[in-house]
Amino acid sequence: MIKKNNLRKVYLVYIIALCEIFCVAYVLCSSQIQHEPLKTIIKAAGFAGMVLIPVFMVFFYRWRSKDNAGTSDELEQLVLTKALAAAGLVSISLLPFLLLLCALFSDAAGYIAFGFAVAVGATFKLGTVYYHKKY
Amino acid sequence: MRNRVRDMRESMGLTQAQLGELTGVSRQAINAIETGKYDPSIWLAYALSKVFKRRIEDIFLFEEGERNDQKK
Repeated sequence: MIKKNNLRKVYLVYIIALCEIFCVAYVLCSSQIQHEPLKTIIKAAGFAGMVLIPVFMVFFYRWRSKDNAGTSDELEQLVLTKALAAAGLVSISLLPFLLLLCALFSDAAGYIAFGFAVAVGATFKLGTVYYHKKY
Repeated sequence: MRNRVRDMRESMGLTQAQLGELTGVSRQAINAIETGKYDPSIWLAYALSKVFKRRIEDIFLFEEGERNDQKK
């Protein structure tokens, strides 16, 4: 069989790092918010996320890894490869639209980039669910 | 590709999880192979042949023209 790897562990670290960056960005950007109560909520949510997300992700990882000791076998690697290929295809296809829309609507560039990230992430997640069910 | 993994596993009294443990893959992978949804790598086929003490071609039924049919 294809050698087992630590794909899940790598994915866990990647997700935690990404979430931490997002949370730090939330906290830093919250100072720009004029509305005081909203500013406090966003800042608190950012700090809470920084603490809670890694804890939640580690528990989730341990719960999921009971089935296969945290490693991925060749079937799972096939599933992840196909899902990543689908997400890559979507991201490359949508990239010209992202640039175009950001240039045309620069005020909403943040929302457009967020929508792009959600579309690509959702494709990856739905891809993994679809291929897991298929096999 | 058709195979006799389920027959051989059951004749040895193994569960899918136990066979997965012996061959180093998940129970889901064994299930996907048994139902014909997934063709294993040559190394997994070799591991299965070791567990069953049979030749790979006794476990997996290679049929003439099947590979060409898949491409169409």
